[in-house]
Amino acid sequence: MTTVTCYLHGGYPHSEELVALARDAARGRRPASDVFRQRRVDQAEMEAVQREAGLTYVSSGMLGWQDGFRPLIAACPEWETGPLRRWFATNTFARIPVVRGTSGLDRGLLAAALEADGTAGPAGEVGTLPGPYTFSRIADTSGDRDTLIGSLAAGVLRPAAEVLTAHGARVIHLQEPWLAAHGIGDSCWAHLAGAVDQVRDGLGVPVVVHAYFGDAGPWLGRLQALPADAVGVDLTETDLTALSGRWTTGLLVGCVDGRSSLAEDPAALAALARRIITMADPPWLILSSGCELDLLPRAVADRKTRVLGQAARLLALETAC
Amino acid sequence: MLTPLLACELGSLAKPAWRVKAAAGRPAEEADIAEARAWGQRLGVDGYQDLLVLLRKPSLSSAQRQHIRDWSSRYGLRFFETAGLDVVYDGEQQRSEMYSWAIEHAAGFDTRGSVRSFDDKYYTKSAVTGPVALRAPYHDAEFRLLRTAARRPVKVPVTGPYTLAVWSFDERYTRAADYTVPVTERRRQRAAARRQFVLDVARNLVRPNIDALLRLGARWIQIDEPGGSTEPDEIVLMAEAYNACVDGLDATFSTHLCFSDYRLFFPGIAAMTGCAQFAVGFANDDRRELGTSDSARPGYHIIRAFRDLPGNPALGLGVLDVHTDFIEPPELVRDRILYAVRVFGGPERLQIMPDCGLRTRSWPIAYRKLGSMTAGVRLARAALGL
Repeated sequence: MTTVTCYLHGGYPHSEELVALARDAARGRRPASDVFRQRRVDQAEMEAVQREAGLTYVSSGMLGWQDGFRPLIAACPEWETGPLRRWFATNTFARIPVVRGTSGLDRGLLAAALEADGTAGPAGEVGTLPGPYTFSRIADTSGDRDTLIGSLAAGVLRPAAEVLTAHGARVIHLQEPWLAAHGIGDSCWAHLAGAVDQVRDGLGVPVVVHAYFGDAGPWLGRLQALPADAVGVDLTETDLTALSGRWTTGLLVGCVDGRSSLAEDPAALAALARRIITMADPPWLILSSGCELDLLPRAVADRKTRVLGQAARLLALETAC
Repeated sequence: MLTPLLACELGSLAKPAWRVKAAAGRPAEEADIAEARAWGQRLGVDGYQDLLVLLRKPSLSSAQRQHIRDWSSRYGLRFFETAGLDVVYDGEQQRSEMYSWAIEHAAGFDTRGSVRSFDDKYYTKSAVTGPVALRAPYHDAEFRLLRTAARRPVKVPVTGPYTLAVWSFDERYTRAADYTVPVTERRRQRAAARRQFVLDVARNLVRPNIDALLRLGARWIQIDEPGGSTEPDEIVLMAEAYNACVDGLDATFSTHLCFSDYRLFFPGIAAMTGCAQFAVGFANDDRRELGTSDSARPGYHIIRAFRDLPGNPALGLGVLDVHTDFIEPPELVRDRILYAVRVFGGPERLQIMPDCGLRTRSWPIAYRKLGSMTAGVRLARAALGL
């Protein structure tokens, strides 16, 4: 019997009002407090969209995160933000983490950033973090990148996951776009497995490893062997047939395209999910977006969120019948 | 064009508050007028007092707002000229933004909303929904003004077709994905759709706009492709679209690429046969310490690949990081240039510029950076005995 849930991971777009206020604040025309106030409005609105859509877990949308690394870097006293890098094949850029020193993440600093009016905003029920493999490849480091996979998990991602769960996260979502987009060497798998175990062991909430922005098909066997509660793929890039065969771990299906403004058909997505259940029979099926939705304008993302919820509802109705 | 170490303008400048407010129909405040006066004096803008009179008006007609935009162009022009640059433009003061300005003058697009570029910087993203066409040439008015006002040669920046397409959503050439179709077939369909979209933008929008500029006497057009490496397997398409814009036209054409893993551009950009200069940002990835060794200049190792391009195009060497307020000392600019001169075996194919447009920096910071750049060029010229 497959349990079906749905949620959004990663960042969510800012409203047009928040964009305008942030622009004005950057130019000194409005106080920063106006931005915080509007961000709370945005937060409430996007949570309402998710609740009305019927998503299982409500994401915070990471509205205060300038990219997926910034509050983590700020919470690691010896680290700095580096130059801008293109975020995979998108027109969004992130500042790469400059990883130096060994002090690791200061839980208090991250917690403060997540609390009321903190720079990062609330944690939400979906705690999204950069996956240890992707983090190790993107970081500016003078050390060995394979070794970094484990030290990032122990020193940064596990403490961050604990802070997020303490602030309400009910699932930890590790984003691993590098894995699908650029591949992974044989020698890295043991490091990655150890890192996922480091994040998940005794955490008390499920951990999902999501490979997207590329074809996860070649890696699915080894992904399923990771000590994760679920493994995620991006169906924009991964063939449906690659999912066939009985799954013993959970399966996250990225079936809403975060890089296209065209809205998916909820009935088609429900039929797709039903087909996946038939062909893979995973114990846990998660319907989500292929990549984070913050690559879209807010109105488009809202529409896709509703589609995701409608698809899950249709699937639930059919299952109930 | 192959003047050694020619110092060139590149792209956009921030718009002054008085220009932004005028465009939005808001009155200028005393601080804005004081700023206009101070920069008018500093840059030696002829007749800037007329601008101050205009800014004091409680309300502005449409024609008066355009006059203020024209003033902004004159200020931008003098900004680059007095900073000591050899090739100038106006910092794109007339344009809303490099993407949206072109899209606003095109048929076949509908606005979808704001999308983050980085940090708290956003752009308004549109979707192609119908046949792409040029509604009206969109750089003619600014060029008419600048060709008569400029005291130095001008280079007209034009947003490239690949960037216009890849920064847009596609609701015309593709449909929502059908995940039951094999992914290899979907990729083939996506690639074919993208190619048609990009080439339609090149042939039906960008090229006619360039044609109009050439008819007005423009001699150097820079086709900006900051989105060029978004999809690494589409570099060849970007090159094909570039060629579709310029083939058979009589002018100097160059391109600007930035903030990418530049290795991805090779060998694809070798097909841009009519490209006289590749203007590329490197300082963003470089160190701030002085030195001309390989270890001192990690951001510039890739220039060897540009050196070896067929046809010996010039390299527009980015020496200013446009994302920080750090003022590069002239000696650092000099060392970046001297490193490149050593790699290229001489200065003949090197021209000097910021990494990208300076629009995210304030005018005082941008002016100091450019002043440092031109001082660094002078130091390099002296060191080379030029």
